Amino acid sequence: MKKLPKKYPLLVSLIVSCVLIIGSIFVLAFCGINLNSSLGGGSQFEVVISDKADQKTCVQGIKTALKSSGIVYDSFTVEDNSSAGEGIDDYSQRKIVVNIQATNVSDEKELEIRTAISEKLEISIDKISSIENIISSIKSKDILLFGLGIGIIAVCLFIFGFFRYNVFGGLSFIIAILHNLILFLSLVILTRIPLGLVSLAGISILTLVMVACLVSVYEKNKVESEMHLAEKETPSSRLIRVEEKAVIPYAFVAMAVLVFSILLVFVPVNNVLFSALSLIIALVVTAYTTLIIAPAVYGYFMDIRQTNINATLSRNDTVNKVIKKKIAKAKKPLK
Amino acid sequence: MKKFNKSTAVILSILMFVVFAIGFVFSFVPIQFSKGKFVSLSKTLNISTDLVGGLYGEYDITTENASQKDIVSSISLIRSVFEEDGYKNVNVYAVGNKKVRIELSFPNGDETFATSYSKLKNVGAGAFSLSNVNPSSSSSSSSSTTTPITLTGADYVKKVKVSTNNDAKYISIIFNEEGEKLYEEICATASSSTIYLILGDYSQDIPISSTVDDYSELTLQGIDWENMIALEQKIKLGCTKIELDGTNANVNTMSATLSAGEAASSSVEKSFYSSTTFVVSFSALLIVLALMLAIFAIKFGFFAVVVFVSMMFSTYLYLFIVWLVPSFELGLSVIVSLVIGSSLIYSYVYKFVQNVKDEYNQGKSLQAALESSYKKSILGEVITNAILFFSSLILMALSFSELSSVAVSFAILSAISLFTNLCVVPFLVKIGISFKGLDRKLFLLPKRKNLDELVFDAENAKEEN
Repeated sequence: MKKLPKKYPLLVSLIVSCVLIIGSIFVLAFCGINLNSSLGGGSQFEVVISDKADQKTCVQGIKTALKSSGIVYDSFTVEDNSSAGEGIDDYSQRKIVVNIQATNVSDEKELEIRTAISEKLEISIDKISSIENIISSIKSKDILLFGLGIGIIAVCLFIFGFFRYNVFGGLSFIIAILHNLILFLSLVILTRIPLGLVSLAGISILTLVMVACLVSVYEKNKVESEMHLAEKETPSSRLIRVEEKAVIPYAFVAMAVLVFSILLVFVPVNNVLFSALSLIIALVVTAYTTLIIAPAVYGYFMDIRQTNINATLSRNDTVNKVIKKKIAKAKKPLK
Repeated sequence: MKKFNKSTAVILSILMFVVFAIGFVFSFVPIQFSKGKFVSLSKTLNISTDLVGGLYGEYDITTENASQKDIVSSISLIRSVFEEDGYKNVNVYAVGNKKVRIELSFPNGDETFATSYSKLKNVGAGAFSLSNVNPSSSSSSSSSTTTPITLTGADYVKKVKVSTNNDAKYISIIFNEEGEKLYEEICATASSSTIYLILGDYSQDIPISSTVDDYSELTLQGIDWENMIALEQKIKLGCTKIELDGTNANVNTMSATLSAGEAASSSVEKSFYSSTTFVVSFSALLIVLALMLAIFAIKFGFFAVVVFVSMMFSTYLYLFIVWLVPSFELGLSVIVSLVIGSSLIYSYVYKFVQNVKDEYNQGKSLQAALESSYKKSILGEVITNAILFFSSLILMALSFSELSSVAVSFAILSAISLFTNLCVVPFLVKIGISFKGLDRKLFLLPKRKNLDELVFDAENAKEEN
C-alpha cells in the first residue's frame, strides 16, 4: 500500500496525456490542424492603396473589416515605396499584403470581405485582389526528414542511456521525447493555435533541453545510488529526491522562455502572438514531461527491477550471505 | 583550482579588460579604416524577413491549369536554388495557382541590393530546353527536313552545377536516363553539328564535338564567371514544372510584418527600428538576460560581474562564429534559440556556484569547495553539452528552411556554453579569488566563525535545550 502514492501520479499523468492525445486525434480528424503561413496554411490577398493614403489608417481599416467578417488575420506586409534596386521607379500606389488564417474562402465570403474593406477604406473593390490559399514550398519530404532527425536523436540517446545507465534509462529518453512532441502537437491541435516554424523550433530546442536536464538528474542519481548502496531507499524515491535538486538550475530556462513569450505577446502581430502562445505551451509540456513523466517512468521500471533482484536474491542463500556481508561492510564506515 | 599570486592576477585582469574592450569594439562599434569601413560583427548579421522585411519578387504563373503537385515541386526547386546560393531563409510560396512570391532578407556584407535584385530577376527567364533545330528558323522556314526533337529541363534534367577542371570553369547539365538517350538522339540528328540551348525566348548555338561519347551530361564552356553563375541559375530555374512570367515580375522591397502603427520605410536602417517585431523580440532577449543577471547579483553578489563578463565573451564568440557562416540569418526562431541557449549557460553557472556555496557551508575551505565543485560538475557538463551539440548537428543536417539556422545557432551556443563553463568562468573565478577580501564577496559567503565563537554557540544551544 505504501507504494501506491508514488505510482499514483504516474498513472494519473499517463491517463491525462492519453486523454489529451486521443482528444486531439478526434479534433484532427474533424477539424484538421491549423498551420501558419510559414508552413503553407492560411490565405493571402492584396489591397492596393494610394501612395498618399495614411498607412496606419488603412491597416486599421482592414483589421476592422476582417473582424466584422469574422476572419482572423495573421500578418500584414507593406510593399515599400523604395527605389533601391535596378530600374525601380517610384510608384504612385503601394500594396498591403494581408495573410489570414482561413483557407478555402468561399466566393460569398470573399465578396463580403472585399466589400467590407472597400467600404472601410473608400476604395474601389477592384483594388482588392481575390483571396487565394497559400501553397508552401515545404514538402512533406522536408517534414519527414525533420521527423527522421528527431528519430535519429532519440535512437542515439537510447544507445547512450543504455550504456551509461541501463536499458530503462535509454527507454525513458525515447518515451520522454515522444511524449513531449506528441503532447505538444496534441495541445496545439486542441487549442487551434496555428503551428509555424517558430513553434517547431521552440519545441525542438526545449526537447533537447529536457534531455540535458534528464541527463543531469540521471547522472546525479547514478552517483547517489553508488554512494548509498546499503540504504533501503527505493530507486523511484531516490530519483524523486535527486530530481528536486538537479532541476533547479533549469528553472532559468523555464523563466527565460516564459518572460520572453510574455513580452512577445505585446507585438501587435497575430502570427508573433500565436508563436508566443505556442512557446508557452511547449514550455508547459516540457516541464510536465521532465518533472513527472520521464523520471516517474524510469523510477517505476527501476523499482520493478529492484523488486525482481530482491526476489531472486532471497531464494539463493549462498548469494544472500555474500550480499549481506557486503552490505555490513559498506555500512561500517557510515557508523 | 589554484589562485594566482596578486601581481599575476593584476596583469591578467588588465589583459582581460583589454580583450573585453577589443571584443566589444569589434562586435558592436563600426570602425573606419583607411581602406574601408568595418561595420562591426553585429551589423554583419543577416536579419530575416519575418523581423525586418526585405526584398520580394512576385511572378505570375503562366502555365494554364497547373496542378498543385507541379506548383509545390516547382517552388521547392526555386527554394533549393536560392538556398544553394546562400539564401538559407528564403521564403518561397505560391498564392493559389496564380502567382509565386519569393522573399529574401535585406542584403548584408558583400551582397548588395543589385546582386539580390538580379538574382530575383533571373526567376522567370523561361523554360529550359535543348533542341536539334534552331527555334527561330524552325518556325519560319518550311524547308527544314530535320524532325525537331526537344529535351525539356523539367522532365529530363537531373542536376545543373558549375564545375572546375584545371582552372577551367564550366556548367554541367546532367541528364536522367531518358534524357541521356534523348540528348544522344538530338546530337545524332543535329544538322551542321550544332544543337540549340533554349531559355524562354532566348536561344544559343552549341557546337557538338565529334569525339563526344558520354551523353549523360552536357558541358557549357567559354562563358565569363559572372554570366556563368547567372546562366546556371537560369537553367536550374528553367527546369521547373510551371512557367513564371519574368518580364512583368514585380521586384521591390517590403517592410516587416507591420502593426497598425508602423510605417514602411525606404531606408533599410530605419526599417530595423520601425519594426515592432524586431524591436520587441530583441528587447525581450535583452530583458531576459538582464533579469537572469539580476538574480545572480541578488543571490551571489559580486559573482554577477563574473557572469556578466563571461556572457559578454560568449556573445563575442557567438557573433564571430556566426560571422563565419555567411548564410546564417537571425529570425524570430533563432532569437528563441538564443533565449534558451543563453539561459542554459546561466543555469550551468548557477549549478557551479550553488555547489561551491553548499560545499563551503559544509565546512570546506573556499579553495577546496571550488575544486570539488569544478570536478563534480565537469563530467555532467561535458555530457549534456556534447548531447546538445551533436543533436543540433543532426537536426541541422536534416532540417529545412529557418529550422536549420536554429539548429546551427543552438549547436554554436552549446559549444560556447561548454567553453564558458569549463574555461572562462573558472579562469575569471581564479582571478577573482586571487585578490584578498574578494574571495568571499565573490560568492556572498558568510564569514566563518572561529573556534571560540563555535564553542560559545554550542554552549548557548545546550542551555536552551
